[in-house]
Amino acid sequence: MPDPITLPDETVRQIERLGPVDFIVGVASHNNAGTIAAVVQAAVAGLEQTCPGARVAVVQADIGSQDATVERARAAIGDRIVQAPVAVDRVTRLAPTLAVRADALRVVFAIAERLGVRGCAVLEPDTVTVASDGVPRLLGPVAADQADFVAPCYTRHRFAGAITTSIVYPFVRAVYGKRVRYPVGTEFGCSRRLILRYLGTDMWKTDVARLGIDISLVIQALMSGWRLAQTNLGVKTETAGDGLDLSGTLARVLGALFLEAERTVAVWQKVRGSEVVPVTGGDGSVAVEPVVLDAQRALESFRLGERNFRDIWAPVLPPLALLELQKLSRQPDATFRVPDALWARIIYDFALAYHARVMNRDHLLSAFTPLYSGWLASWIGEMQSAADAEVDARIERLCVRFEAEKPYFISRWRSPDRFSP
Amino acid sequence: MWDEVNDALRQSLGRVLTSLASFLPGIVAFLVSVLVAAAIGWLLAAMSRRVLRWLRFDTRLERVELDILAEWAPSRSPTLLVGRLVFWTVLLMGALVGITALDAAGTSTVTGRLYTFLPNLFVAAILFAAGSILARLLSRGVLISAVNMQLQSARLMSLGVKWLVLVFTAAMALNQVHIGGIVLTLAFGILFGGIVLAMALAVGLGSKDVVSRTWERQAEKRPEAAATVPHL
Repeated sequence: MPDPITLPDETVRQIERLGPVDFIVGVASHNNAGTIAAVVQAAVAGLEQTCPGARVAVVQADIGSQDATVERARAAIGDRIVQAPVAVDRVTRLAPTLAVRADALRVVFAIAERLGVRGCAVLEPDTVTVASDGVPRLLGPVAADQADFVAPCYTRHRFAGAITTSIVYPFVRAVYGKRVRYPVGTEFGCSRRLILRYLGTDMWKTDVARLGIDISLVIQALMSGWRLAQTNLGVKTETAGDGLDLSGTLARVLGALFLEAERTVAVWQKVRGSEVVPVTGGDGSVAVEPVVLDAQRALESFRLGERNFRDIWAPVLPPLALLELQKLSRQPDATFRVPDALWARIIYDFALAYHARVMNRDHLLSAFTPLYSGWLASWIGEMQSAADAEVDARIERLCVRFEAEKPYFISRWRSPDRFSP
Repeated sequence: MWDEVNDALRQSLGRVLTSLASFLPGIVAFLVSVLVAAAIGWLLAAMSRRVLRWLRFDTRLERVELDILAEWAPSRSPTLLVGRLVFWTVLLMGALVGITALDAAGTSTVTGRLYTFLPNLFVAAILFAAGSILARLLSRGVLISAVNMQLQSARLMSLGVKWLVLVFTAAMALNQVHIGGIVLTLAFGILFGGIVLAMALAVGLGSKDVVSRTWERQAEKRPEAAATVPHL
């Protein structure tokens, strides 16, 4: 059992003043003075729309804001807010919000548990549109007792979120058997039962929590028979991201995925195929602005990596895969395509190498970046002029390939050796 | 006169033979000591190899990034390297015992100096091993970071870092065993400075494309399209 969380006295007084609450919106804020007032007001409006007559509130875990974020949030909705500060360690390798997001969410859930809520929606502190429209969609299935976890679905440009498209979604779908399109969503809804489950686990102080608590929360929800749903939240407001460069983001996301795979190995090795998770809230067919991307830089990055990382990839990838990558690097730009089978096995091989600690883990994940650049170049070349329906079909084919290669992943996990051509 | 020459020759032969006779047991003791040490060393080496193979020593070293030893080991096996170290250590000890047994005029001085030298040699070996491990880790880290920054001279920079650390470590190790003196200091300074200059050129020349692209973007205030589309 994890250590019980201690809330500051002022937070406890606010909880006692508020009394029991039915539904809350949780927000982890950091220097969001420009948007927090609108977000919390829209959140309260969304809560009242979702659950007329219910007692509602906002819980704000503030991560060391230096501006007037805390004051403006309270000024916007008065006493219908509970606020708690989250300490920021001076020495953090990641952006402050990222490094302590796990602590912030844990505070939100602890306060939710004390308030006796039936459901909670977690939102970003800078997306007003999601706050106003998304709260009913995220909390609706929970309030109707039809779901324990509601994941977001977004309408995004085909080239946005390529890490989610190429790695996170296919990997989570194949490994855990649930078709959750955006497993890295920072906005979600969850029931009281699931909140209590989260608080009772020991994941909060682990490395996976530091790297990607949102991934960990989703994967916990995918296991053990929790009722799942997805909801369309419309066009995703693309934020500045996690403050890391591409290599740092890849290392963080892959690290969280692979650590979770280590922790949950007893569960996913028995899973076969994948189940559809129902989607609510419209069909998500909203037009987004077209973007034309040049794949040249991504190709150059892949070729540079292939020339320089052969010794580093050698203990990770089988010889056949290395040979295929060598051949790929010589392909003309126009016909450069990364086969799905090769890509799926590369992801699984890196997961296996991470688990077996064939080298320093930071080095291993950083050395993955050129491979991702190669896939991105291939994706851009293939999808630049494709129709939307073709994009969805293409992603589906990729996921099916990941599921087909899962036996390879399981057999190598159970019988680790250096190469398995 | 010939009788006196004969006497002188007979006396000197007697003295030489007497010296040899007093020296011979020491030589025999030396040979016996070395042979026994070789036998014990062989036995201990075989036992240590067996134990290390049972413990999967080579595989465990790979996992904790200490497989640098494999690069210095026969057949790339740290187990074999440890076995040989055990053998030669025992043999060396046997040789020291044998040298002491010789009881020649200067042997006690030699043995004393040898015993004083051994701890420095041990520290120097540890220094060099630690430096080799550090060199490999740092060079790999630099290579990965430079490639991810799309620097064309990534491999050169990585090699430069590796040899910087190795040269520095070797100089410290040689200094520890008091070998080289001023020559070592000068050679180290020249080598180190040369490597640093080569790396500065590699960084400067290798990153000029990156720098010029950055300046172009700032001048035209045009961010690259790929950078504005989030990856996650």
